[in-house]
Amino acid sequence: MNDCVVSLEGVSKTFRDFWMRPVTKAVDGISLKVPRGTVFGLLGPNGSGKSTTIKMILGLIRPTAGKVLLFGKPPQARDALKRLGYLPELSRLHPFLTARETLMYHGALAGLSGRLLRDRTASLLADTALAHVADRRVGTFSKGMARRTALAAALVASPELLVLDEPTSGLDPIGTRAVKELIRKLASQGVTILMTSHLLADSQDVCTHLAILANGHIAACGEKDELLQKTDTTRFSVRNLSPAAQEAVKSEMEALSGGEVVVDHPSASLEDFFAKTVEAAE
Amino acid sequence: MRKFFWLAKVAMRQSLDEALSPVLFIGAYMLIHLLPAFHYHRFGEVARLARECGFSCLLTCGIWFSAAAAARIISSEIASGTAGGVIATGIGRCMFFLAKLSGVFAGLAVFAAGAFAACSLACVSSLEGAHLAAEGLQDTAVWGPGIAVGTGAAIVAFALAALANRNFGKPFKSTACAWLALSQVIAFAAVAPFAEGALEVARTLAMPWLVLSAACAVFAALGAAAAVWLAPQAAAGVVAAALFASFLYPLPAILPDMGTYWLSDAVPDGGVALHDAWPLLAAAACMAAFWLAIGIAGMRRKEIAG
Repeated sequence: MNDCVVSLEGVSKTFRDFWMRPVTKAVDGISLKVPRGTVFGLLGPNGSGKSTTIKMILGLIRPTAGKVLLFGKPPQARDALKRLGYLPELSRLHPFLTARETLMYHGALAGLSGRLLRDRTASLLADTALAHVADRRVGTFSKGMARRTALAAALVASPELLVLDEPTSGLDPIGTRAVKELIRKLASQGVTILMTSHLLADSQDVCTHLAILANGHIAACGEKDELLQKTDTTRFSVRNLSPAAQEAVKSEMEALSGGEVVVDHPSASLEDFFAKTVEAAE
Repeated sequence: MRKFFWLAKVAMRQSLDEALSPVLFIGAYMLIHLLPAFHYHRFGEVARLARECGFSCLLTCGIWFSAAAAARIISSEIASGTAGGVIATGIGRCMFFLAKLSGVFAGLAVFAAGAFAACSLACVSSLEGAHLAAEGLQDTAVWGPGIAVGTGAAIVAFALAALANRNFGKPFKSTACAWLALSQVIAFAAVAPFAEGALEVARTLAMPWLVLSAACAVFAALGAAAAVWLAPQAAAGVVAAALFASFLYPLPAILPDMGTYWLSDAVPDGGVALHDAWPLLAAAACMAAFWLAIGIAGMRRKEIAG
């Protein structure tokens, strides 16, 4: 069994104008593999080629050079595309449809029908905390609710690969947290997730693998822990250590390491603090 | 087929939900009823003006509605990533394009059904008014009750759509369009039993109505094809130029000859004969197929970067 869901080999993309003159080389000879069951973050600043790479993987645009494989097949293959869900960067939903109708529409396009479609819609509305607004038109939704609706639409066909283009873009911290929890839950169920983001904290929270794009090139790629770990530094965490004990431990460690030892109190993340504060206020 | 149906159904609602759609619907229906009342005296032939006004409104507003809706839906879906979201999950590009255009055709059918009913009612009112005037029962040659029912039904439908939006959250634009068209059908059905020759009038109007609706459909296909290949503004420019060209230098294979379709010349005797209509319909089908092929070819090679 192929354990690589997406594979890119020497892929380049040059955009041309109406007269076929080259305008921008958005992606320049990148190669990467997305292993099955991972949460793969494609990171980079604006204009680095993240969205172009995603669209080549989805078969929406053709590479100028190189080879893209999705589930071992060209990305235009229908049976490969049917195994994925896609959340575009902008959630342009049909404003006259309700959240339920939107999911029914996407479910029907994914081949679901009858009771299965209704049950899947109801379950996704509950999972994305939209059940209470299921019959409201999405044109009246806040940005966060619209984003969650689009995410639910991407999930409606129970995809094996979920492609998320800036999934937390425009969301408030609570909405961001909910999306990240959903990503973790899906990953624990074996769904492979390929996401782009320029919000590094969000990617660090959920991704198991990272690739960093810059000017159309891959600047770094690998498992997150390998990329981020400072192997020359060691940290201990201890609860309720008295100041005297802290001093004693610090002196001992300085003697052992022969260098400076930093002692401090860890901070909660602002996201955790914000979520707790808002929850308490509500 | 189910997927095609769902795409087309949503596209139909999109076409009716365009900002201009309710304005075009109510504008066309009101003009169909009111124009003969304003200008009746200029025409000697009974009901001719009503028919001409009705068909003019159908053609003008129908082309505007369908070509603009087709172009806007296709171009906005490609630009916004909505098309990408659908195509990336295994829906064929060709199916997407055809289904969207079918939805616009369905929206056009809703508009045209209302216009047909309104035009029939206007002709019936004109005939009834002329009859009453000839008998000396009234001074004017228009029939007040017919106009009142037609315009009143449109106003009531518009108001009910506003109320449904306010009280039940129904989308105003698409609801108003659907109810406006339905109101005209109901108005004609309500008046027909009380007006002599109503069904005969409707029968006479059916063929030219079909021919004009087909002309609108050709421009919708042209609008959709242009939207695949060009930026939205350029697509709108192409449709406008094509419409202009079809009056001046008709290109029989690809554009309707509006000199023929504009029925002041084509139906001086009240209707298009069956044997005249089928060639026109066949020609329109060929033209629409040509533009569909252009659109599909563009869609196949289109880079959906939005």
